[in-house]
Amino acid sequence: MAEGGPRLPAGRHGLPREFIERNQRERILTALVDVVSERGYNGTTVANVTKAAGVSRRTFYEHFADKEACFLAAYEMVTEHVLDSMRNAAATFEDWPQQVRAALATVLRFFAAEPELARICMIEPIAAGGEIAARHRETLRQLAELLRAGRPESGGGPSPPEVTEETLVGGIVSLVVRETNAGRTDELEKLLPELVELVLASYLPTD
Amino acid sequence: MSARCDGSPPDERCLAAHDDVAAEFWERLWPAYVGAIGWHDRIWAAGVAMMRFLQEDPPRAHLLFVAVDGAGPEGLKRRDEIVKRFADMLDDAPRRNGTPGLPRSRATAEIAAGAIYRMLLDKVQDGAIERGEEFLAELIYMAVMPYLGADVAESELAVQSLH
Repeated sequence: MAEGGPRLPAGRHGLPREFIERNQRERILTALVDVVSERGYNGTTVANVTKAAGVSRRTFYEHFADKEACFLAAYEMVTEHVLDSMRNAAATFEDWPQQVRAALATVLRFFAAEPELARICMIEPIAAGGEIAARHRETLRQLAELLRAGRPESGGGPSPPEVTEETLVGGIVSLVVRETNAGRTDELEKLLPELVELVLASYLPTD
Repeated sequence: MSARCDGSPPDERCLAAHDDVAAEFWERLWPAYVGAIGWHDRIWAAGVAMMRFLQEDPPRAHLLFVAVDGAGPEGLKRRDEIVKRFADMLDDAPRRNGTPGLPRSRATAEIAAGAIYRMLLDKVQDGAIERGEEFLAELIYMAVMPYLGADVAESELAVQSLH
C-alpha cells in the first residue's frame, strides 16, 4: 500500500462531501495499515495515524471512535475480501478437493503479495486482545465453516472429530503467522502442497 | 487469571513469568515423551503429562498460552517456540524404528503442531482446560493423523479418559 495514499488539495476544492469522506476514510485506513505494520498495534497511536494520513484528529474521530474501531474497520475490510476471494476461487470447481486447493492457493497468494495486510489479518489481532482478538477468532471460525461445508462431499471417508476444522485452521494460521513474522511471505505459496495434503487427509480415505 | 502482557513496552515481568512456566512445562513433558517406547506411545505419554500440567493450575496455563499473546513480537517468539517443540516431537515419527508412519515434511509437523497449540489456546481461553479429558483424544488425533492416517487416528477417539 502506498504511504498515506493520495491527499486532497488544500482549501476549497468543490468536491462532493461524500467523496471527501470516503477519501478521508480510505486514507486513514491506509495510514493505519502502514503505521501498524511498522510499529505494531500496541505501539501505534491515533497521532501516528493522523500524521501518516495527513488528516486532523477531528477528521479521525469523525470516522472512528478510537484506534480499536479504526483497526477493526481495516481488519474487516481485508478479511471480508480474503474470505470472498476464497469462496469465489472454490466456487470455480465442483470437486471438493479442488475447491480446498483453490481456496488455500488464493489466501496464500494474497498474503504473499500483501505482507502488510497479512500482518493486519494474522499477527496484530493476537497482540491487540479485546474486541479485535474476539473478532479474529470469529474470522477463524468462518474459515473453519468453509472447511466444514465439505464434510458431506468427502465421499464416505473418515469421520474426523468435531473440532477438526478449527484445529486445522489453527495449524495453517500458525504457520502463516510464523512465516509472516519472519518476513517470509514470499515463501508462503510453497506450503500449498503440504497444507492441501493435511487438510484432505482428515476427510478422504488413506489410499 | 485475566491479565495479558500489554506489549508496549514489552512487559518483561510477564515474559519472565511465561518463561518460568514454559521451563516447568517442558520439564514435565519431555521425560514423559522420551520415557515411553515407540512414537505412538510417546505422543500419548506427552499428551497425558501435558494435560495434567495444564489442569493442575489453570492460571498457570493461562500465562503459558493466553497472557503472553499481548507481548507483541516477544510474545510471538514464545508462541513459536512452543509450536516448534511440539513439531519436534511430531517430526520424530518417521525416524522412529517400528513406527508405521507416513513420511512427512517439516511443514506438516508444524501445521499439526500449530493445530494442537490452537486447540489448547482455545480451551484455556474458554476456561475449558479443566475438562481436558473430554478433548485429549481429539488432541492425540490431530497429532497422529498426518503420520498414521485418519483411519488409525479415528481409533484414538474411543479413548476418552486420562485415568
